[in-house]
Amino acid sequence: MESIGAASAHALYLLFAGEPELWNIIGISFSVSLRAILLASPFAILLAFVMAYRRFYGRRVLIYIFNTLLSVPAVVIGLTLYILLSRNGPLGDLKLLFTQDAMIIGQIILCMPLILIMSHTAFQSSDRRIWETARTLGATPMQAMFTVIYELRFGLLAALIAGFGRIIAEVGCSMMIGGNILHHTRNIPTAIALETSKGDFSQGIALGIVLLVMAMFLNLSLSLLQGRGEMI
Amino acid sequence: MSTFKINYKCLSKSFNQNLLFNIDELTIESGKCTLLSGINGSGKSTLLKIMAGLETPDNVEICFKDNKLDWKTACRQIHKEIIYLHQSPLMFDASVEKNIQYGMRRQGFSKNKIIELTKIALQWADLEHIKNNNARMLSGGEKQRVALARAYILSPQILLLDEAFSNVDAQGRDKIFEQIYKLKEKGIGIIITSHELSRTTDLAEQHFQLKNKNLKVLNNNKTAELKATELKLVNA
Repeated sequence: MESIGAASAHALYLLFAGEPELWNIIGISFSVSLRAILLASPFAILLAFVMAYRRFYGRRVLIYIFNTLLSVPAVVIGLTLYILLSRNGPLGDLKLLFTQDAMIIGQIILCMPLILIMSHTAFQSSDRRIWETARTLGATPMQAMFTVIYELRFGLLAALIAGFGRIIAEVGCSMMIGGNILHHTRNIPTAIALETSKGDFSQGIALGIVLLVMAMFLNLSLSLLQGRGEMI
Repeated sequence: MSTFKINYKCLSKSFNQNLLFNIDELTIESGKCTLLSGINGSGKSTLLKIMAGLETPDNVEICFKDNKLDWKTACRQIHKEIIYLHQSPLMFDASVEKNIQYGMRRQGFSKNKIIELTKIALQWADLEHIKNNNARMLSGGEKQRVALARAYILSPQILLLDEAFSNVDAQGRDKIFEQIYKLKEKGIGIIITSHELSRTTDLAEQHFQLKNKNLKVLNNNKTAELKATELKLVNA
């Protein structure tokens, strides 16, 4: 086993030397998680808006379900999807198990409740005058909804970042339904888990650095955006 | 401007099964200025919001151009013709100019028309010198003027002003009064709620009072009486 110093130095070397295997893992990770966020967020934000601005039968039940889903461990979602997608499972014919599509489905299920609940909180605590002003000035309900979304953009962006943070660093679900196949479904967290179990820390540290830099970059971007604020 | 008239019958609203008001009949029309008074909590703002189609009543019968309309159809008509201004107007997170353009953009005005009308609105409300400022950073009086300009430029038939003079200093109040007079001259119907009866009664041709969960039309004598009471309280 390498010392921490040597492993870290080797990790930096791997990163800056553009080691193909390492960057392939990073690429898969970002590609899968970004696709999951892009697919989950419009639906989550729209549903959150409807739940906050409309009164309908079953609204409270829906909030309760999403709150519960928020605390379901990733590995349980992975297990459920594994059973559903495995060859003998009800969705086995789709042949999605151990594919990036399966990982995307898993990550959507993981990030959707978080984005939805955080967006719902933002909408619920928003100033109702935004909606009323937009409507009275002639905006259609759809235009008024986009105005509300725009006015709350920083809160909603924080929800997206939290959702992305949850799935980019998640191991259980990706490992179970992705299978950790090199060049195919191996992403940053599953690679870190594998390399650590092998006692090879340098690649794990390099990937950890990527996650840390990404977290810092996203938070810095959000802070900078919050500091500005021109719109329409 | 042809006269716009809308009639609300059996208009009721309650919150948590507590009846706020039950109004037998109410007609609003363009070209007239109406003062709506009532004590705090009597439901003035709620009534204005219902008239503007922003709040749903428990029950209402709406008659527009001799046609009875259901609430949803009426709302579509109302949103085109009636504009409601909040007590403390909301400014979108954008420049004064863009705030004024908001309604025009949403209603599909052409680019040239938007530029032309924005100039007119900025001049009308004396806001040219702050047109590039973020509207959220303005004072209460300036925000109220932006809100009036934003509404004025859409040429509504009726303007509902909810406590337009609150949180505004005397100078700002004068400017707002000046703008309201201009709107009135343009033939826009105005319904205004205000605790400042002394000045608004001079502006208004009729006076409605929300009292005992119903709407009463006050005659000139009663209005003068209320005005005198207010003056006494101010001088005391």
